[in-house]
Amino acid sequence: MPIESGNRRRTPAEPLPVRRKTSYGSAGRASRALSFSVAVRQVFGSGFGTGFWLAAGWLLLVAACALFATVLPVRDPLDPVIVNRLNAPFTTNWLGADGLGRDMLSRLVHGARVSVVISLTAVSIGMLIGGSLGILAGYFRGRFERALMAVLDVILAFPWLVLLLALVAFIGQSLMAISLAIGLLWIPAYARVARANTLSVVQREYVLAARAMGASTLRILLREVLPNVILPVLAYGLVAMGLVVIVESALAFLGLSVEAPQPTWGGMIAEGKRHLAVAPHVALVPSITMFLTVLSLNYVGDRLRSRFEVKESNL
Amino acid sequence: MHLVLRKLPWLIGTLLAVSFFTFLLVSLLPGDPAVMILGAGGVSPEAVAALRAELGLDRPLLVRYFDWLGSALTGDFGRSPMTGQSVMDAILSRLPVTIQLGVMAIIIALLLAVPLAMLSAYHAGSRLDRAISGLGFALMSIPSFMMAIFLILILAVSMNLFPATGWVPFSVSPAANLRSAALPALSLAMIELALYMRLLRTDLISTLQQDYITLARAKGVPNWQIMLRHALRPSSFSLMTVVGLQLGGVISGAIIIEEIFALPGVGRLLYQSILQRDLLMVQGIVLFIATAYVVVNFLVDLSYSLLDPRVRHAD
Amino acid sequence: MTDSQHQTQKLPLLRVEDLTVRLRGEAGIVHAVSDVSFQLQRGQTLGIVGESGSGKSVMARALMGLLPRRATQQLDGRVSLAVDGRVLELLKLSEREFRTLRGPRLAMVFQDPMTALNPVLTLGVQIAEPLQLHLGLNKAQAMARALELLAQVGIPDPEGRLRQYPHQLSGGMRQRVVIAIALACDPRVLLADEPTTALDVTVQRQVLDLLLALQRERQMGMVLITHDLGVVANRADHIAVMYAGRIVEYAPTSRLFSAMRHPYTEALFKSVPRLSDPSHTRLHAIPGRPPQLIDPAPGCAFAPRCPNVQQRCRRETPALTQAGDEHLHACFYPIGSREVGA
Ligand SMILES: Nc1ncnc2c1ncn2[C@@H]1O[C@H](COP(=O)(O)OP(=O)(O)O)[C@@H](O)[C@H]1O
Ligand code: SF4
Ligand SMILES: [Mg+2]
Repeated sequence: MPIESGNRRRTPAEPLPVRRKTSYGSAGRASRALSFSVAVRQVFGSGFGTGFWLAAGWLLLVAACALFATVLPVRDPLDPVIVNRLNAPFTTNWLGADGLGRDMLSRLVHGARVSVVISLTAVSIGMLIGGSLGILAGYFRGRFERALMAVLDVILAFPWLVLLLALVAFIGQSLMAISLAIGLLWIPAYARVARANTLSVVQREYVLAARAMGASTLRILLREVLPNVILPVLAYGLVAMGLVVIVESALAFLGLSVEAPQPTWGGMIAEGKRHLAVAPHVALVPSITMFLTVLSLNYVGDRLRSRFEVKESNL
Repeated sequence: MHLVLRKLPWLIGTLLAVSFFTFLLVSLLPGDPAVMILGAGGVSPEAVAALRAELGLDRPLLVRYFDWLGSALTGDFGRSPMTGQSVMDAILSRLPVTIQLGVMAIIIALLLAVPLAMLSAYHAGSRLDRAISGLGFALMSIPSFMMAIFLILILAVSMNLFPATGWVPFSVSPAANLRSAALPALSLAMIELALYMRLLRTDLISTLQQDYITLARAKGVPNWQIMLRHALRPSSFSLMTVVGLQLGGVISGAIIIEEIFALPGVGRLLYQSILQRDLLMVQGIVLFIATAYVVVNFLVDLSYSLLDPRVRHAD
Repeated sequence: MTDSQHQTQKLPLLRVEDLTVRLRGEAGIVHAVSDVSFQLQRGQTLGIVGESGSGKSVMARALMGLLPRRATQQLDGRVSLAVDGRVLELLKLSEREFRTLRGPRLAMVFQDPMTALNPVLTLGVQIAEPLQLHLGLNKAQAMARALELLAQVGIPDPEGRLRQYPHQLSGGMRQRVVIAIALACDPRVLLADEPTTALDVTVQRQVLDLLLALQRERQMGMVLITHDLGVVANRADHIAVMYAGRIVEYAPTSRLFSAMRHPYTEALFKSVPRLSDPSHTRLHAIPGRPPQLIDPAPGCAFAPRCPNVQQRCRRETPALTQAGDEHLHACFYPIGSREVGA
């Protein structure tokens, strides 16, 4: 899963000479850094088109489900109605029933809660801690920066799931604990994004001017650097949330996310795996829901990100 | 050779840091191994203390670290207190499965990604390009365990082409081995495929705008030969880096995939050791994986010189 | 001399008629080349001079069949190449047919030798490639021939160079390699697109002299493109001055210098960089902005910068007209005419 990818691309020992773009060549002006955005644009055209609003609408729907799960007119997600066991969608239950006869729609709605809360919290944690570290490293440079980057390198040597399993074993399996564990996982990525953007801001004239005029460090950081770094960092957030949904579901699939009986999408997929041969909908319904959610997050996030032209080139 | 020598201190430093981090990570896990072994409840504190002393758990952290590192360097990761099996033997006996899985996944991903990216880049902006990019975009939003479910459903349950679970060692039957590895490897490959493809397409597009490609065309070189001979190699540097960096992602995926398909690999061993709190085993596996990651990426760094003569002659 | 050989002597080697190229650019349709016509005889050199952005490279690429496919909005006119007594209409050829001409018939030398060679292939491989492709040589034969070519373009220690990579050579040496590649299959027409612009002044002259010597020796037709009148002054047989995608003056070299008619040619002439200037000096001396090729306004494209401009220039586009033997210009009020300054 691409947590490490893209955020940490090593260049060859000797960087290639700057790729001089001639005016020739049939291809567009795709830059390596914005490849994702370009890919998106190629698929869906430019401007916030129908795709963007469909995706945004879906995300709103998921968010609303999470927010109003308890008051929505859905059945009890924990109530096993044995006669409905494994019933297909559009029979006794709108989206079918699972192996215990629980209502899938209602479980999806309640499961959305977990995904939404965890993705929001985890990304915020990563953003706050990683972002601050990155800004400090990019601003002060020197030994602190080198030490931080070295530590991040070491952390990145551990596969994310290995780290996560260890963290979960350490912190526990409550909603907040899982959010915290996944959030910590995001620190390296955010530190890199923030550092890269800080580096480019610090060189700009108004920051140099502020420095020359003797503005205090804190003031420069808050007034000049932060506002310029925060947009790209925030824009990165939605794509990060998509990955968090995936990461959480992987954990849930292994039975190590929020403990039962709380429904989670990953847990539902895991439970569906057992009934794959007789009732594929038990796995497919949550899978498709999750796929659409992650796709929407990626898509919307990327659209916003391309608006801010995030500098990823010196990550 | 110079290159190797210059980078060696970095490699050793990173490995040391990685080993210490591994040790910390696992030592800080809650749950007293002695209690775990003796079983919770009804065990006298004296018995626990005795076992702790026997396991050496009562000594200071640093002492235990150097002790552990010393034996780890000789290939001795200790013995699992639960099963009595040597940790190294356990890893080695399961390693071939994971390596085969990972290598197959990466090869499948590359075999599909390279031609697709070349098609896409050559026809950049066309409908075909958009279709391929869209495919990649969708694949990026499907975690490997979900891909596994889809593949099992279609290729194993419906079409009965491959077994849904289980592993046949290569030595028993090469054909059956490949059949049993096919679905797990495919599941792992898909998300990598999307990543590789996106990256290579972008790099190819910018390479195709280079003057030397126009020169090749001016020489009358056929287009396919331009793609293969002139464009592919200079475009594959970031791809190579990412294949290395993504190893962590592949291993994370393998943990889940091995569990889904019940494959006797290192990933599954790790997962089960975590569930059983078999700390020594966890420690050994994590160190092993992280070391492999660092070493592979080190080699990737070095192999730039094979691909890029400019790096080769840097010193 | 046989009859057919006699024929080809009289046929122009390359004849371009009303070549027009429009490209889809980011800001709109670029009228890069408009109604360009000229002829090139065997063994002759045509200099094409114009400021940067005047469409010289696009024209050269159109002749090579190397325009970007997707960006080409319009490609019109006639380009005839005399080959073995036959005349090929280049713009009507399929991509596959055109490919067989690139190398043995038409070749091109590029502006920037730092980017024109593939960084990951050895020089030997890059020079041998067209030989294997077009002449059917095997690898060893091609390498042997590559060695001769390297020696011909004046590269010291050619054996050692064959196995080297581009980054191990200086700019001047790389340009010699690019020339060796272009000459590999003994082309009849050589398009040299600013072959020395990116080089140091001292190296410039050497490379130009080399090009000219090789051209004479092989009796190729050469189109020498430059933004610097000085480069073509005593090297070209004819000179075409290009402005905003059009040829605005055409004459035998000596006549052009003795009796230039177009105000733009004169401006170019006055702005010829002196030897002391750094090689990259652009033509800053001409006041005003270089031509606008997107949605060009009616009238003469040079009007905004022209000292001779009058009302008529802004309404009508001057056509290329005869001004004496082999001398053409496109100007209503050329230098030396009575109306000017009246
Ligand atoms: N691939 C392209 N797409 C769109 N416009 C182009 C392309 N290549 C060149 N142009 C435009 O065509 C015009 C002529 O360019 P060029 O032939 O390179 O000028 P010159 O070689 O005389 O300096 C310029 O305005 C340039 O911007
Ligand atoms: S036509 Fe008029 S504007 Fe154009 S060059 Fe001649 S005098 Fe100048
Ligand atoms: Mg040019």
